[in-house]
Amino acid sequence: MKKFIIQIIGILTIILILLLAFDFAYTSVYKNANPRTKFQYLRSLKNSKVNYIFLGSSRVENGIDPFIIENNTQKKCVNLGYEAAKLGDIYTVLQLLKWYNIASDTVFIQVDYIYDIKGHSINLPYEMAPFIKENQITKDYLIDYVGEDLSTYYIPFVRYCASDQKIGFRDVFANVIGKKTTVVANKGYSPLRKNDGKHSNHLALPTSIASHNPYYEKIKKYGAANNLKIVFFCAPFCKHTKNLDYIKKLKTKIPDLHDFSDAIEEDSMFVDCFHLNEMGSRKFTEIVVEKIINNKK
Amino acid sequence: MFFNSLSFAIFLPIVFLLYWFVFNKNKSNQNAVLIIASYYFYSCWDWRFLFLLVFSTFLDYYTGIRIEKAKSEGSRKFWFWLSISINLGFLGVFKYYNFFADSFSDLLNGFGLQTSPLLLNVVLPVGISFYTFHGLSYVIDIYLKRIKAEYNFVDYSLFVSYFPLLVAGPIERATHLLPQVKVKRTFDYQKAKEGIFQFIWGLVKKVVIADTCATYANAIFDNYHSMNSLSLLLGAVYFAFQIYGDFSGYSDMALGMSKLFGIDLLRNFNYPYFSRDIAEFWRRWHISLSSWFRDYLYIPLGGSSGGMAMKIRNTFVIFLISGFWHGANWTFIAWGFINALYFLPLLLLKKNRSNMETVSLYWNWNSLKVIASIISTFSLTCLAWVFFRAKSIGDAFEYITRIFTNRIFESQYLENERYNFEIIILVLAFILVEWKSRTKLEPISGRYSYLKLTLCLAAIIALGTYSDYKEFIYFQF
Repeated sequence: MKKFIIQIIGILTIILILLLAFDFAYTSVYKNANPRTKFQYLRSLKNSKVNYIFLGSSRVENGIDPFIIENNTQKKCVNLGYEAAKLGDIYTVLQLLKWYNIASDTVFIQVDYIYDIKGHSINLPYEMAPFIKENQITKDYLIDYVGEDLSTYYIPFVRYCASDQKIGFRDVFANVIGKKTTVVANKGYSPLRKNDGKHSNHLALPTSIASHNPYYEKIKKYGAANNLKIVFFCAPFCKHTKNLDYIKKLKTKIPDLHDFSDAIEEDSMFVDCFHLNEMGSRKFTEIVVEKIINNKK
Repeated sequence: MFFNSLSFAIFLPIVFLLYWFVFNKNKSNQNAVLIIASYYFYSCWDWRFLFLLVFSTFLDYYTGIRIEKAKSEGSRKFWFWLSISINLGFLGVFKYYNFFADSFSDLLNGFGLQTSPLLLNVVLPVGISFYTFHGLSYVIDIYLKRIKAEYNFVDYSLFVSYFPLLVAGPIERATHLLPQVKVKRTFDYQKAKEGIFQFIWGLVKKVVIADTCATYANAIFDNYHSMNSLSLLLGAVYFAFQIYGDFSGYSDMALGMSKLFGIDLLRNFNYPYFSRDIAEFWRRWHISLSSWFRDYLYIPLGGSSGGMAMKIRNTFVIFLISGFWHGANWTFIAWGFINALYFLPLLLLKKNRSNMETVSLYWNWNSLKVIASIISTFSLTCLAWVFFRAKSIGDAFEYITRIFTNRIFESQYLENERYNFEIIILVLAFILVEWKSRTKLEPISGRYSYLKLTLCLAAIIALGTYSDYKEFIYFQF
């Protein structure tokens, strides 16, 4: 039995060493590889200045083309919108901009029904997971806000196992061989190609609005405390969207909101009532340049 | 509580410590620990089904004794058929009632009589097919006077409920397992070491091979309408390795952990995908079920003793029932039927026992023939697996039709954001490892065992699928 117990201890030691080794290797790859994910891209902007930074949900990710802004203004722009991001996710990214020492002239934040929704982005948590030990902001976000298990922080490699479909061996291998992604080449913009104008899915906005959103208030305070110019705006909805008067209610909560909810009327510009297609996003980006950026000069 | 879960990683060492360090004085204590652990393990799924398990155990225990003690042949038959009826009755109600009600209703609707079946809203108790077959074999063996009835209820309960085999087999025989639980087990280092190696290899099969293949197989099968020929072919191959890795991985884990308690279980898989014909495949796949059907159905039906017509009839009966055992769906029956059709030429040509020895390859022309026969047997098996995996027989036919009619053999991006060909290297590496170790229980033991063990652990950690968790397929049966 003694021999067997020694053998088991040996196996457990091998497991521990492997966990540490894989954790170190994977994290090193994510830290040093050319950016493939939007979060790696954000980190690559460390110690630099980006004039215009767009934050928000997929309605930013799919709706703002940074190249159009750069061509029009000759200034640097990135799209840091994340699919299904809520104000809590946006607040985290905002804090990380400072932590990574990324300066900006203006941060544009898209707010709409996310004012009323709890939860978190789909992609941001696993894109941030490799860097959980990098700073307290990332740790607090993943553990407290997203609700990841504490084991993902304390036990090596568990976070990679927990998200193996996204940051497992396959993705690490893609990082090692330098496989490029379009999201980074497009400065965070991810255009939606569908363009049939036949979106029968008429989505609805909430009928009522929450009395307040704590993360909106945190964003406001954070902006003021760090002398950040933050511009809130609302991206277009298709004209068939139900309860569009929600945006009026939202304006009572965010008085300086730039409302573009009805800025694009053509159905052919939308993939569905909440998302612009590539053509629509180009048109909307030009509207943003004209109505906000150039006016703000 | 699955074998590859964190809770089981806590449960197993606790039971191991209690078994060998606290309650190791005599076999009664050892059996008591194992039976309590087994009931706790089973109750983790749904404690209500524990009553069913205990009732089933008691029924077979009691009827076994009554059969043995019966004074007359009539009394023996009475207790025997009572046990068979109740056992099959439970299986019928929980597993097959809704299928029969639905099928009968469909039949009446086909004749223009509009009916809506009265369906039961019951969950299938996990492992019911397995422990019912344990009990059945025990009662049949007593009735046929092959074994004596067991009078110690705890020992008998352990035979039925022993947690490594409780939910997905292997289907044990009283002649094999009961003698082992009737003596005090002493710790055997070599056996425990073998057990650890086999358990870890089973884990590799489950989390590295089966669950990874499942990610691709599911994306292909669930969207087969939009898949090209290459994707559909790969989907069938991936499913073949998913189900093999899943079930044989489970069996390896069961056999391995049982060795830690000093108990040997029946081998369930013997490298089936290296079979040279379908008969050999069925001697190597789910061996405990195949042999159960052989001993308790095929032979009582006359087996091979009658003429060719009887052999063919019995073969079809076995395969159809075996298919139906897997689940209450026509797809499983079709799968059984297809396997019977595959078996038929071998039976007619009397070649069903021609490949009994382990396959070997040499540098000669005959080896090419062997390789061709292995590939053709595997292809036939994959074709049958399509029926096993498809939601309906119509879907299975359409899936296969598209393989031959689509004729596009290029890489395809799947719904799960992966390319269809991505895990071919993993599958080929697995085949190579299995081929090299086909004369052993698992590939870790032997020379450089600790290096191989480390590689296996590395594969489990780095290549395993954890976030898209998949239950063991055979738990639903």
